[in-house]
Formats: sequence, C-alpha cells, structure tokens
Amino acid sequence: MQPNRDTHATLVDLLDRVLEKGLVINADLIIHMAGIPLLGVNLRACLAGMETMLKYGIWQDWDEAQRSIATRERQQKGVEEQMTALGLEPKRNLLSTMDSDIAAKILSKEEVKI
Amino acid sequence: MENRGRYIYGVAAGAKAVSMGPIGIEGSEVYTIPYGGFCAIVHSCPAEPYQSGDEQTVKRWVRTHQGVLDEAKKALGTVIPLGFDTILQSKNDAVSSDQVVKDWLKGDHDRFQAVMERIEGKDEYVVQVSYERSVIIEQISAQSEDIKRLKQEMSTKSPGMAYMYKQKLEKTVRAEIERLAHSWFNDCYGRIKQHTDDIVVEKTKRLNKDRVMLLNVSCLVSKGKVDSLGKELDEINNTDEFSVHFSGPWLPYSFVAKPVVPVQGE
Repeated sequence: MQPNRDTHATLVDLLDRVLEKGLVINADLIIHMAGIPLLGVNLRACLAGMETMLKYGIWQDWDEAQRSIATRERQQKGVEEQMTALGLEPKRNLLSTMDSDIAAKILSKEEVKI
Repeated sequence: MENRGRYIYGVAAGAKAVSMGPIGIEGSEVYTIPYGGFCAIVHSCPAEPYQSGDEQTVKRWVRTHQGVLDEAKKALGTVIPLGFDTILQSKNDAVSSDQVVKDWLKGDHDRFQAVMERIEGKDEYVVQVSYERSVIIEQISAQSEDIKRLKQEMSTKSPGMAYMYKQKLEKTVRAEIERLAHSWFNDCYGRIKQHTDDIVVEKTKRLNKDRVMLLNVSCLVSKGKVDSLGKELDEINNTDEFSVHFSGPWLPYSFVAKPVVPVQGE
C-alpha cells in the first residue's frame, strides 16, 4: 500500500495538522489570540454544514467560546482601565489563558469528518 | 511603515540567510532569519493574525503554508513545522522584528536541537482503519450463539414481547461490537506500531452512518520503514472487515509539540 498525498482526498489530514498541530512557541511576543483555534473550528463548521454542526454541537461550543471571550475581554478591559487610572501597567496575560480554555473545549469534543 | 509581524512557517538547521521568493501566504516574500545554527522560515506581515470566514481562502492559506514548508524542506533539509498563524511581533520600536525572531531562536535553541534529532530523516503518516457496521453485524449474527438464540426466541413471541427481544438483541449486538472493536484496536495498533519510530493515537472521527473509524494514528516513520508499514496496511486492508486510509508523507506536525524529555543527569 502506498501513502497518498493527493490534495483532494487528504485535505482533512492537512487541515488537522496545519490548523491544530506543529511546534508551539512559548514567547510572550507571539500573536496567538483566539484567532487560531477559532479559525480552525470556524472553517470546520463551514465545511460540515449547519445540520452536522448542530447535531454534534460544534456551533454551540463555538458560540459559547466566542461569548466567553467577549465576556472576559470586557472584564479584562474593566480591570485595565482601573489599573491605568491608578497609573499601573496592565498585565498582558489575557490571551494565553483564553487560548487554553478554548483549546480545552475543542479538545474535549468529538470531531466531525468533513 | 515596516511590518511589525513575522509569520513563522518553520525552523530549519542552517546559518544562511536565504530568500525563497514570493511563495508565501498572499504572495509574501519568504526568507530565512538565521541565528545560532538554526533559521526561521518567515514572511513579513502586519502584527495581526490571518483570519477569514471564507472557507476557500482559509484552505488556500493552509495549502500555501504547507507548500512553503515543502519548498523549505527541499532547500534546507529537515524542517520543524509550526502551526498556521504563528506570528511573532516586535512591541518596541527599538527592537526590529527580525531581532525578535533571532531572540526566539536563541532562547529555544536546545529545544530545536532535541526536536531535530527526533524527526531527522523521518516523515509523518496518517493511518486510519475503519469498518462497515452492517458487515460486522452480519458476521456476528451468524457466529454468536447468544444472538442466534435471541433471534429464534423472538420469532415465536407476541409483538409486544418481540419488541423487548429486539431491544435486548440490539444491546447484545452493541456489546459484542464493542468487545470486538477493543481487541481489533489492540491488534491493529500493535501491528502498525512495530513499523514506526513513534506513534500518536488521535481521536476517531465520525465517517458516515455505517462506516465507523476504529483507529486513527499519526505515525513517525523513517524512510526505510515506509514500505514495510505499507505492506502491513495491505494485510489489514485486504480483510473483509477493514479498510485503511494511508496518507503522507507530511511534515512531522504531531511530533514536534510535546516536550522532549531530557536525558537523565542533564
């Protein structure tokens, strides 16, 4: 049996790898906001179609993830504004915490073949 | 204004600054930034992630990401791939973005070394084994004494009782499939693993109503072992029960993320 890398038949394998795997940088200078995992889910949702999404709860999770980001951003913004008012430098650790939450959500869910 | 971001495709060994041409995402010029024996394969971009709701656009980006890494592998040898949309940025006018990348190469030097050693001369392959549920149900219905007996008894019962029997039958079939799947998994996993240098078990996916994925693994395989893995997969594929999906070679995306365990005493 020969391995196959034909673009059409193996697109899902490629997406699984490029969107979800690879070396992870532990630098604080990286831009890795919620965009990365969400982009993956977003695309999968696009491909799977509404019905499958609802059936397997992708849409719900995605929606929840989106909303929790919005809530946290608002909270963080509030904290930052207070800190700035006090003349303190706001901490920029918000994004990585959010990422791990979303990653956990995504990892905990069964994937859908697209 | 100079772009603040550096989109990182991967890391290769080498101390040369190389220009790879406009082969990057959206036609960006790809080049290497060397430091301390390793080089990052990058393009210059604004300090914002690439995002799009359009499926074709994202697929194109992902294919380009892979295409750049394929080219880099041809030109530079073993490449450690990074995931899509990894962008380093300079937050300070005094430090150039290329310098930020160099600082990162410096800081993670030992890690790159360890990952390189692990993946050198090896590629990643995807192996998925699946079965048709209906075929398996037929087989076990013909073989299992319990199921034969239940079917026999069911045929003599009233519609109400027959319904109960049907439920019981389904439960028995399900349990039998689960038992079989467990032993098939162990068997297939063992047979595949012996032809790999490393293996990661991935989550199985839903295929369609009747086709069930039994096993989904990412395999790190040295060049010399690919044929023997292919032969083993042929044997699995040539049974009535299973069909095998075998794709690759991919860059070893699944084998660069986990931390490398340092040798004792270090």
